[in-house]
Amino acid sequence: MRFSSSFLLFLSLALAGAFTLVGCSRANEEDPEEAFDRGALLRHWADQTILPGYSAWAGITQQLAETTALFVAEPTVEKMESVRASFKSSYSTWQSVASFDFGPAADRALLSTTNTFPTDTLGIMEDVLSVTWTPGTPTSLDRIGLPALDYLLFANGDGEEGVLWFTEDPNRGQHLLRIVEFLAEESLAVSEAWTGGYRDNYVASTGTELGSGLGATLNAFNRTFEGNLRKQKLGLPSGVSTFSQTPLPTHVEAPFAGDLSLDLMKSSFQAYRNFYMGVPLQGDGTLGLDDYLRSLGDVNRGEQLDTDIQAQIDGAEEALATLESPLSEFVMTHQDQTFAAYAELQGLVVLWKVDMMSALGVLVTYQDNDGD
Amino acid sequence: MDLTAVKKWGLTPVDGAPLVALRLVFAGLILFNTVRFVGYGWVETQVVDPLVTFPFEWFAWLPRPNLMQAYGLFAAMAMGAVLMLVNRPRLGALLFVLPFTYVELLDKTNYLNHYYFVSLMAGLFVFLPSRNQAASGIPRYAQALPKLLLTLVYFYAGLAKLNADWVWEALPLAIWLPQHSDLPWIGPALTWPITAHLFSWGGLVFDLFAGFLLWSNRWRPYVYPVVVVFHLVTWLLFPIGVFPWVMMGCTLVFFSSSFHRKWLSRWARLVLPSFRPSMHQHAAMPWGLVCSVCFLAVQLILPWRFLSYPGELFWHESGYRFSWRVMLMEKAGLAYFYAKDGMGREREVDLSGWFTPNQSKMMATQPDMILQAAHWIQQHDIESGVDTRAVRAEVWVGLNGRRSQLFIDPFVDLTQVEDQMGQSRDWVLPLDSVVTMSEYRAYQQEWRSKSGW
Repeated sequence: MRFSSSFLLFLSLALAGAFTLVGCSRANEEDPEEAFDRGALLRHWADQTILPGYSAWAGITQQLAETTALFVAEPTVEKMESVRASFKSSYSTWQSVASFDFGPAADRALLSTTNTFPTDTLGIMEDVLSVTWTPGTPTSLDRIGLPALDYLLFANGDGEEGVLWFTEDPNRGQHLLRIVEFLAEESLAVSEAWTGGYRDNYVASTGTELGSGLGATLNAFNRTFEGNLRKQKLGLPSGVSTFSQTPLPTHVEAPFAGDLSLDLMKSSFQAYRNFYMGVPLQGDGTLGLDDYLRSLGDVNRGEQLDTDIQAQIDGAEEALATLESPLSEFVMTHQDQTFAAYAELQGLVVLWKVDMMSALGVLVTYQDNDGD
Repeated sequence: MDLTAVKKWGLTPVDGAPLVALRLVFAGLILFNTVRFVGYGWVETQVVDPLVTFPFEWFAWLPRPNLMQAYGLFAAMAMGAVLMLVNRPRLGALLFVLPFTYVELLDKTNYLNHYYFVSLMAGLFVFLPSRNQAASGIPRYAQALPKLLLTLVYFYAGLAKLNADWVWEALPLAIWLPQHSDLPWIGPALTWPITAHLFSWGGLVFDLFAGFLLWSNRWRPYVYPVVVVFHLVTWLLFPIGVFPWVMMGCTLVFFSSSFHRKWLSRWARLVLPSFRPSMHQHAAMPWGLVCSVCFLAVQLILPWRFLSYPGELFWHESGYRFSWRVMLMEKAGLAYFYAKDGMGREREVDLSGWFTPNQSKMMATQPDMILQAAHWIQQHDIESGVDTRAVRAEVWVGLNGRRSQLFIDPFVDLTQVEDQMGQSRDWVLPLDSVVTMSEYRAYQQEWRSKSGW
């Protein structure tokens, strides 16, 4: 067949030509721009932030489970204080892994099972009495996790009074333990999924398409920053989404522990900042999105964008620093300040979600589809 | 133009084998596309699950299918494709094109140029003579129509690339190509600026000329391999689904009838009746020819409707769709809506959970969808007893590597704006206005009070 042979000839010529061209231009390039090594970025994130983060999270929830078991077996003021202390460190530790809502965490819906708030206090008290309790069903996410623990541990009095509340009805302690154990199981499962194979897939998928390491990480980063930090931790309690703009103090994170909310918000913000700057949780060296942007070789959407983002990070940090604890009272009295901080966070959302994502060309979607 | 010459040229009988071949290839592709769509679970995520839709103008009345009905529609599409494969092209094409187009019309979010192309092509097969017997002779216009449509698609896609971003800045390819730096062999080269320029210019030249060169017997053997390589490259580099395969498959129609008879008899074991031109003499009023000319005229004119709107087309997107503008923009956006009640109090609208991720993404950069979202917000609020009187939106968009800037007037009450064909979108800020975030922050209060919001 004349056609098929000419076709093959042409195809091989074209391919040979293409490779020669590539080869030549590679050789001729005066100062070849070193392509940014996305694999190195993913390894840095995985090995020095995500894995240590999850390992710390699994460790601290395990410790929480142990202290809780001791307290439930023999409720004393001292043991209750030790549970409260591990609860508080657990909540701060959570902030450093909350943004990794993809892969194993997304498979297990870790974000919703761990930290759905405001919590349903009546529902929790119903569950206390339930013999056949199943944690993690989609309709009962606001009855479990850290917010439920916040309620059980802090809403019912301090000292002897608090201990009495648990001894009055042993089901309360048992339910506390059930919630803690589920939390610990889930965190361990996610941590093990990362070490047991996901990490290798993650660092190997160096593209930017949907489901690639970078695509998954950045989409979760933006989505949780916008939805969980900006909106949930600050916006809704401040009253941005109510017509009367009435603050909703009960909507803050950890409302019962009193002085915890603002610290959690600030730790969460630090986690996003550090992740962007590539400051690791463990070990040395920084490698982050700032380096990636600066490697793009385009001033406007590279260096300048990074400069603007860092300035906005500083601005948001300053605005958050003006807020005072306890947040649930502060939102009632200083709405102008909480709104100002909210606006600063929103500014960062725009820079990260629009400018950075389009500069890096990462597909901004959390859903599979075709484009054209 | 001499009408009798057109008539004479168009009605001359030709061998219908290429059209039969096109029908088979096309039917195979749409069957694959249908199965793929269902297999990926898109019937749920794109058609049934969304709580809200963004219907096309004039088609808002279309009812939405439930899950069973949606699967019924896709079953009908598959059945239509199968009928086309087994030599019942008209019935098959009709059975395919109606549910397919209906599903596409439900939501702008899912608009893709290649879906539009598939609708047009399937629509043509409802009328074109492409049964096996037609190989014994069909009027030339029937053979030419799909080829003309393909030529038009390539040429208009090429014309659309004649803009400063594409030609001088190699955008958006300069953003998209470096993403593939991890590909074996060619990866590193994709990060060089020169590569993006070569790809841009290559794509431009290819699109402008490929459609015409395919007509020539002399050039076709050299151009078709380029078509294949071009589309394979786009298939490898960009998330554009089956479109590259549709184009590689459909452009086969340009090959001679002897070529098609050969592979059809060898591989498809399909022995077509031989070509006997004397069988066809069209004396009566050639309605098919008239309709074909009208169809082509509409296709030729439709992509130019953007000229009637002032401003930058890629920005305001008035007249952007249905015009073969493919892979031209890296456009990302973020939209925040604010509602005002009867007492003049404002709140940010919490949209979480209402729109699908795809809808939020598409809506944030397309003005007509932003408007639909605002109208939906008011309607939904009123239905649920919330006194929403006005809705405004603060939208940030970055186009082709430009930094984000304010997209629409942030203090226009969108519930009072209607978006109609032929009306320019003066509530979209001009691309060259470039209101950055710091500027907006500085003048926000002044702007707000001036606007009377």
